[in-house]
Amino acid sequence: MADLLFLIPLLPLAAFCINILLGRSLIGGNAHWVAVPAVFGSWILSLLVLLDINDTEHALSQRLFTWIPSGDFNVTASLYADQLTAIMLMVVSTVGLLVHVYSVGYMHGDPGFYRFFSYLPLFVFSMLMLVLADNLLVLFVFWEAVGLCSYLLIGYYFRRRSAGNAARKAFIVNRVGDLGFGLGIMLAFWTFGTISFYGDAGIFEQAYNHEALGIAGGTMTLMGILLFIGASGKSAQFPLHVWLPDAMEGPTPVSALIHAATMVTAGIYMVARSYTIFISSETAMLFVTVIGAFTALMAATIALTQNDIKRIVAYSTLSQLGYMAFAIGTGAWVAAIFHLMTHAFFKGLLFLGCGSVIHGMHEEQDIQKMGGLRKYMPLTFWTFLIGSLANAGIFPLAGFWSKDEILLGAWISDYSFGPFASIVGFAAAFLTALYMFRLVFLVFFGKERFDTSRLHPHESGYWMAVPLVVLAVASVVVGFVGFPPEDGWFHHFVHHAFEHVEEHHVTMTQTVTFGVLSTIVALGGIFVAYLTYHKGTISAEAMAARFPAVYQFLYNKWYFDELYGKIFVQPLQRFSDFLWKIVDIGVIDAAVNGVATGISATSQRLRQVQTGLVANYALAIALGMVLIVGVYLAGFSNLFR
Amino acid sequence: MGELTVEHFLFLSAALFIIGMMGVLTRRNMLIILMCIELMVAAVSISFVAFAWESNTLGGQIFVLFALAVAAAEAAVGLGIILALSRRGKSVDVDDLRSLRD
Repeated sequence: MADLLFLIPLLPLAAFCINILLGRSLIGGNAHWVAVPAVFGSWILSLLVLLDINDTEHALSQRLFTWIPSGDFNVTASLYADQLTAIMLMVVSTVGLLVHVYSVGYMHGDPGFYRFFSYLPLFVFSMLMLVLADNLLVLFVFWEAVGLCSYLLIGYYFRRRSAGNAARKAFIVNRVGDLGFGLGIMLAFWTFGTISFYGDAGIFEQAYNHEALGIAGGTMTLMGILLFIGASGKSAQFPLHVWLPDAMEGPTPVSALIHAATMVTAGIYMVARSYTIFISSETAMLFVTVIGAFTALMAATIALTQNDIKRIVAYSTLSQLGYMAFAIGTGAWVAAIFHLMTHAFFKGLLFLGCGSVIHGMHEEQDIQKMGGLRKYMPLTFWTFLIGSLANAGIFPLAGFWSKDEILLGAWISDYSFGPFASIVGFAAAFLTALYMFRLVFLVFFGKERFDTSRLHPHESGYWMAVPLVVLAVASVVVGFVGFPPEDGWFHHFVHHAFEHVEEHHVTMTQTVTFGVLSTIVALGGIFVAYLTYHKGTISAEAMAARFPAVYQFLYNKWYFDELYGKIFVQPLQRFSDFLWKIVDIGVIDAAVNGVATGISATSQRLRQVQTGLVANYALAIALGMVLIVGVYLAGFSNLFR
Repeated sequence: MGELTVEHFLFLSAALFIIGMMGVLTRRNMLIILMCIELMVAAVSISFVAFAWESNTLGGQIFVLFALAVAAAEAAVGLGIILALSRRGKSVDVDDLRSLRD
């Protein structure tokens, strides 16, 4: 099996090459017949890898070639698949495959069809390589590659100005995070003298034994914080979260695959991968917890007031990523990965449902202009409802098991700050249920708030319906791989990847207490949403009018965009203006143009010499001769001595 | 009158050369310019003969014979060009020939 590892990323790469080279001329609207089978092949192989690792309990690795041989610094391009990788492979290839199938319907008739089906396999390839990487440098390369794919796909509708801006924003904000990641990699290499992950000399083993090796605790703290800054760029944690809501400018399948299920979890994956660095430093763990818990709560409050269907789900993604981050920070590693997996399925489902709604509503995204869609698109309604229930954490759907484990894991954490994170998590869980069902009630229930005579919403075709149903089923059942809580197949399987931390052991009482508590909180959120947005007992408008400052604050997304605009964008723009108008035009251009003008003016003078009169030339020859002879006679002969 | 020395010949040669050069520089008629060039060639030939006479060798004399032959050929070519130019431009004035400039 290990010999076939390379095929997993190779198949989507081949699909990318074929579609990007031949797409325009030959393949055109049939590009999905190249991309979908390739990703399906990756899915089959990923499944085989998962089963193989489950049987043998040994990680697989395959050495491809030596990438950088340079003295003591050797980088090999190798693939490495352990239990954590196997789970990530399954998530990426499953959601990737379903999104590919869905896109066939969603992107049908788009002039850039082949381009879309080139970038999408390229992303799947990069993401698979990212999770298969066995050293920091290869991880970093594909970390950037998924960022590039994200950029290309956010800006897919490049004729739209907002899409181009959103793509650039995502790229630039990620650069800030990548600066931290890059510094973290350098610090790791500087400290450990290697960038390989595994083996006794690998960074993780060294990080675990850092005290015996005489590495200062401060170094580990700094390394953890730098790596998490990198992770918070990709996983959109505060304060680098601003790009993700704007990334919704991309086509909806892209939002589902990249900005909900896979790429944004790369940061969580990277932190989980380097867990020995983080458990070496309580400060770094506290940092991760604070950022994660704050993001979870902040994003949930913003989601309450937004009106764009995709943005609400995007803020929900932010919030759930915050859950994963603080789960990691409080030491609930397996729970974080569990939530990563269940979230990939139900959030992918929610985004694809959004796509179906937008498609059926003819590109309308404002939930205030929807309503009553339940009877127009029943399949979308039922699948979306399942996704929403899973996201809200209702028993027994996938989100319930994983979110419950995070809340409980934080509560019983070895770290003193764990219970605080757990309380914040409960608050965010209430808000999650509230905003999810605000969305559901406003979109699918009540009266139509659009012109029914002109707009006829319709259910989507089979290409789009099948992935919705598959993901809805997954959102229901996938939580049971982690049943019973903290003792399921998933925990025993994934715990191999976290062998240096103790498994959480929970009592039945704790499980039931937390399960009941989180269900009550979630049902409370749904009930408030029901009263407000369905029955109308509580008026949302009246609430907004009573607390205008709070409403405006949330509606404007905590003014982060404005704040960053004031602090970073505007000074930078002024500085760029200075460089452009003063330095470039005033100094550099002026110097170049000055030289050109000077030469031109001198030449104008000099060309007067060329009169064209033979006599003048002859005179010049004669005078020159006289001059030469004169100098010769004066200097070299003794005639005048 | 003293003895005839090489300086006398050289002064004659220099005088002839300067006359020829002044003719080339000042006149506008191509035929006259060509004749003045011939004058300059002749002046140089005289200095060759003078040095050969002074050093009692034959090399300079032989060289002059070659120079005369080449000068004759050059005159033939030069006259041919002048003839062609005068037919084309209806003029033998060098100031009318400025096509190199434009």
